[in-house]
Amino acid sequence: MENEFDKLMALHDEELSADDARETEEFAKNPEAQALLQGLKQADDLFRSAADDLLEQPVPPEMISAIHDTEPRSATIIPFPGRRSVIGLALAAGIAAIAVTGLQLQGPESIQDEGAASYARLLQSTLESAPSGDLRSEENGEYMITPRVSFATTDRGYCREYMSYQQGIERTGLACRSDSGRWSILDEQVMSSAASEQYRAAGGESQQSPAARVLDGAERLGFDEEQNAIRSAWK
Amino acid sequence: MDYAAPLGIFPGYSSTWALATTCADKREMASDFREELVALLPRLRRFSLTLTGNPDQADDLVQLACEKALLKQHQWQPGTRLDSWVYRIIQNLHIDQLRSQSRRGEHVDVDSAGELADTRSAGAAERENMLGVLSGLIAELPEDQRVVMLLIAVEEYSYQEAAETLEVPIGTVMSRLSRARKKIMSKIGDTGRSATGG
Repeated sequence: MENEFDKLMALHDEELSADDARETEEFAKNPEAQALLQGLKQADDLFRSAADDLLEQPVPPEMISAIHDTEPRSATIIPFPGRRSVIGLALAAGIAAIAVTGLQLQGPESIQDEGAASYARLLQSTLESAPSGDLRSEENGEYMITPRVSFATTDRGYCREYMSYQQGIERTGLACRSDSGRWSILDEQVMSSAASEQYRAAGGESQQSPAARVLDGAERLGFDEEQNAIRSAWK
Repeated sequence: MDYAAPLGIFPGYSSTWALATTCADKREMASDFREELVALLPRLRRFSLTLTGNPDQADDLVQLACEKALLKQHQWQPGTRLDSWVYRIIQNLHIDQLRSQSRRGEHVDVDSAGELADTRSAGAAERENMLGVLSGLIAELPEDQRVVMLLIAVEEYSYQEAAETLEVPIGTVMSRLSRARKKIMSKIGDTGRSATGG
């Protein structure tokens, strides 16, 4: 009987294969099975009626506004604590002129430490583990970072170009991985939406990418090469 | 490699403008995602209440789940069921909360949490309209059976979809469903007999 009940239930839920359904429908012609099927329908109707009433309950407005609340708290600058020295070293080494248009990277006194740390952590973890094209966002949702392309260079090891977004400010940058496993930013450029339009209107296709400005003699990694590099922790 | 001619260097991202446009697309997708979440709220609240048996706890769970869904939206695959994905988040948060209560010495048995929640909220059923809707014989079902009934009998999930959403084997879904229906049918029978003096 137990087995028959389950079969009738599966028939009721349209979960049987065509053959099993035909067989069970034959069995379901007997009065006892018919009563069971009727009981299943009644049970579902009763539950559904109560469950549908729940949908009529008004949703608290604050629940909706919490979802719509997309405005980040404050801050218009994405900071990189301690990165200034790295960039300085890069400059001193004469590798490339670092072109940062728009906002310059700010010193620790002008940044929000908490946000800076969060962003730095996200950048490290994203560049370390995310394939190009994969979007990663920070815990509180304020930042989004997407690695765009990876390179193998002769003098700086692996480098990755990335795109970041925070509170209307979009940036594209380039970071390289040190032997100690840290990703250091070599170049970063701020692009607002308006600036983007200007680029396009002015024939922006000639704009140089961060990699183009900073790297020389780098080899772009293919999909499989990048996958292998991530899997092997960029060794 | 000629980096002075970026067009074509990065397929799909041939200029900084293209990169920015891609980010703008991401933002638009994020906005759509929020709209979809808002549209789902009545069903999310129903699922959560069915799970917890407690309106306040249910809404807290929905709130948390929506925050988490927004943070993890890049993990959701467009084209798959968003409702199922968020249900899974709600259920996992609920389990985490029960385990946390258990660690604090509140002696919550995760496996029978539904029945315990029903007992705790028995008084609230009189006060809360939402729980009132679920009161009666339906609220007598254990949590795990209520949720399976909701997914299959109400939301018309397949057994497989329900199993994936609840992260349990399909056989478990079927046994919970079977027990739930038998219990409801038994109650209907009792009610019918009482009504007819049988």
